[in-house]
Amino acid sequence: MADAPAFEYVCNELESRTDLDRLTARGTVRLALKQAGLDAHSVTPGQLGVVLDKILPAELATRGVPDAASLVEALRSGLAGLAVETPAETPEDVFARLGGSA
Amino acid sequence: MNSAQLLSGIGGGVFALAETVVGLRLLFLWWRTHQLPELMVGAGLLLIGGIGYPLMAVGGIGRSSNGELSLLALGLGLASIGLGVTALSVFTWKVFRPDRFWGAALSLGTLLAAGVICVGGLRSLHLGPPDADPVATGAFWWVALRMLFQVWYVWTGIESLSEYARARRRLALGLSDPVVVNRLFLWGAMAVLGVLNNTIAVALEWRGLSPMYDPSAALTLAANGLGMSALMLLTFMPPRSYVRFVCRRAAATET
Repeated sequence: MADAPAFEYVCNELESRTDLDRLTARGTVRLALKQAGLDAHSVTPGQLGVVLDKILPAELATRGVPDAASLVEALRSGLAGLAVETPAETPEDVFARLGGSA
Repeated sequence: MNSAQLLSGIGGGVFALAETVVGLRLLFLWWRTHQLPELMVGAGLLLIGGIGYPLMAVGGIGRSSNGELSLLALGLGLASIGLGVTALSVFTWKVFRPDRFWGAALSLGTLLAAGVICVGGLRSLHLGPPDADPVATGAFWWVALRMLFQVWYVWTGIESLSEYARARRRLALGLSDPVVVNRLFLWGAMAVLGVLNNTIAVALEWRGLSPMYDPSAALTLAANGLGMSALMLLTFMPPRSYVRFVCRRAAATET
């Protein structure tokens, strides 16, 4: 299954704006997503925005990326411009509907 | 009817009733949404609890000899249960692993195994001595049927509780609804209790303690059946007071 456009965008931007190579950039974002309980193939721009705010700065700092805060801000701005695709239904969506809260 | 059969009847009856009520509610939901998950889980629960178990009882599976059985009712009951487990497998596949080939293969395997169990069970009862005990005559096939459920319970338990663990991390970031996160836990816990129930039942039957004849075995399984019923109802038909409790607890955890 292909990775989500939001994931691809953040990974590509990280690779081009920092010294991280492709593998490290993707691994960093995957680790951040895993901490957030999210998957690279289904993450939405909105969810990734929260990950950028709350998890990614620390991950970037541990990898020696300078000025992580402004980098994250730039990534967030770019994410906001991404077209929102209709995401595939998640287990949480199904259980929300089946239990009557959707 | 002995005390063990009465206990088995109460435990099994409550569970079958819970499956029927939840199954009907989910089928009504499917009528509005036309989505596959509610059709599969609703039909699965109804086929097992609302049609399969009652037909097995009508067929006389608890009676004392093969000669008293109605093989037609038993056959229809077994077929209904087999289709029900298959529908539940499709539910787990489509909800948790929709892009995985092995999920489809497992569901197809469930259907094929259910067919073999149905034919094999009926054949053993048909060919068995008329005065023999039906539970003993078809013992292999009843264990095989339990194993079919066991596979689904294990699979569903792993998927639901894994998703629950991920959903809790999302919840900590404000990306999930606490009620739905709890629902994933309840469904997983129901499956774990199902695994426990089947393991106990098979172990007891292995030692010659059938829940149809042994009160302690029947009591254990009846208690599990009641627990599973409660978890299923809380998952799909939670009372408002329970929903409020979950929300309050989540809010207290945040502060």
